[in-house]
Amino acid sequence: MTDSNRFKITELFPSGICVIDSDFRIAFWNRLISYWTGKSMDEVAGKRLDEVFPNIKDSPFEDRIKDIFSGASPAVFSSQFHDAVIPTYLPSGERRIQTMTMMPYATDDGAYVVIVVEDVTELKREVTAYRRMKDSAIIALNDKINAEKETVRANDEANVYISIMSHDLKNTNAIIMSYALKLAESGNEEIANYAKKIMLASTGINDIIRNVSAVRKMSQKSQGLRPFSLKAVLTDAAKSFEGLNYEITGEDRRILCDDLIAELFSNIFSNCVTHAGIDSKIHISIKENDKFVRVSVADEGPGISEELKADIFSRFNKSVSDDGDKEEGEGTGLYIVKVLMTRYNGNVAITDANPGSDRRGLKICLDFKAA
Amino acid sequence: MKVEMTAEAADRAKVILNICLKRSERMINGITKSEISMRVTDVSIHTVKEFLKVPPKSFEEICANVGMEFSGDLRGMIGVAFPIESAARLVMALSGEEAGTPELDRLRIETLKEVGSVIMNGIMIAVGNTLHSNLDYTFPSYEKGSIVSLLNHGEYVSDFFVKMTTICVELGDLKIEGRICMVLEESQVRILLDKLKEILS
Repeated sequence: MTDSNRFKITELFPSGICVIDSDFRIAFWNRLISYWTGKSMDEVAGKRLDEVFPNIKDSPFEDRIKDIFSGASPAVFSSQFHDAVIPTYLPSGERRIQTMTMMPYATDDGAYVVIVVEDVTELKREVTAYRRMKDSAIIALNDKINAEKETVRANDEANVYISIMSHDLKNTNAIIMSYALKLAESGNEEIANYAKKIMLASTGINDIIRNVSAVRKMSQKSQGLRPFSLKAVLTDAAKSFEGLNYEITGEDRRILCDDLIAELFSNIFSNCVTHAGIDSKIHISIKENDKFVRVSVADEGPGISEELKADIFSRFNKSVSDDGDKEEGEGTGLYIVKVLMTRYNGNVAITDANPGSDRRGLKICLDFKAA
Repeated sequence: MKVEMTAEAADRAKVILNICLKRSERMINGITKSEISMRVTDVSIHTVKEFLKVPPKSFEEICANVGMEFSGDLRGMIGVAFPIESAARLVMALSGEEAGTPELDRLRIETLKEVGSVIMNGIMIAVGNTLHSNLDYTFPSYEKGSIVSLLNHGEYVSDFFVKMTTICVELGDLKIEGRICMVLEESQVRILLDKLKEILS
């Protein structure tokens, strides 16, 4: 069998195949390597490999080929360590990137080295792009993790400042309130009127402090909902308002909520006091249907106009009295009520307490999940 | 007769393997212009069956394996295994890649195959020279898996012996440990041990 026929089976292989004999002479050259090099089998047959490709002379390839002829195991030449041993070019003129494997092949006629050349140009491009993309993604992910850590740290720091500020403001406000009370009891009507305004403003400051604290707590992850007695939480919330006039009708029920439930009712009571006055009565009723426990809280104030009802749960909404004057208040109270009811998987709505009356009042209806 | 490797023979095998690895070391350093150093720290022989019965934990770790089979005067296989991340770091260090994710993609696998084939060549020259044998080889191939799973997968389970070697590779600050695993027929192991005895005497 001639050298060429022996390796004919590799003629159409999808890799470049070059076979050399122990004199380094080309014994076979398949079609793909002919295409890549532009040299036909007839042109190169019998020529020394280093004659066709002088770059092989005195290179590591030459030594490794010699090693293989001396009985060494196959050798791999990766594209990361080596330039192409058989330089070939793409139609664009760009050099092909190759991986090459050399293996011994012994026959009765003699020893050969089979050189298998694979074009990894496209693979290298793709892997390089993939590596770049992956490294960028990792950098972006690390940046995001660091940014999140920084946000948590900044939030913690802000919470510390807010806690200190709230504590100090509460103390200062308590002093303002106690002096205002003394002034209110002075016997001078004009001074007492001013003192009441100071007390109202002071109550407003307390509401702001409480609401800031509530918003801060709301932004933290809920520890989960658990059963609370409605009458107990209503009574606790009412304690924050000295002299609050209220009545509860209906049986006590247990509802699903969390520790922020006190903030919810404090905001509703504060709204009642602001609009109806501390002496006005608050009517609370508890009813249960198939799905919810409904708590209605109605005041005896002037109520609000139809156009303002739609906007009452918005953040920073400022209520407007019937005479058109702007009311004092930070406007977050009922927004907090809405957010908390969503947290409790419940609903909140408003309506007139006494439709058609001069003082129609405001009724806030809260539907809680029963425990 | 039970095949056993004495401590003295194991030490001698270590010396011979380290001499052969010096050649591999020089070759890799010549190609990469780096200063890699490789040494074998221990050699042991087990039957594949015994080895698979209670394999040491570290042999169940998923590794990057480069291996090839051989036939002729000897029949068996040889493989070099490194933990995946260590293999990627080694290739990256050798190819001078800037810091990136130590992951074995196809290009790095090709490069690992080259490094592995140079190491295996060093070992096979030692074996070939000791036994004066002519061998045919398959192409070096890459496979991911534990040494245990690779041995289980092969046809060497019942009556073959496995020669297990620990190889330490150092390149600058990089220090990694791998295994060279060689599976041979019992008769060939006996010949190898007899040759070692001859060298010792």
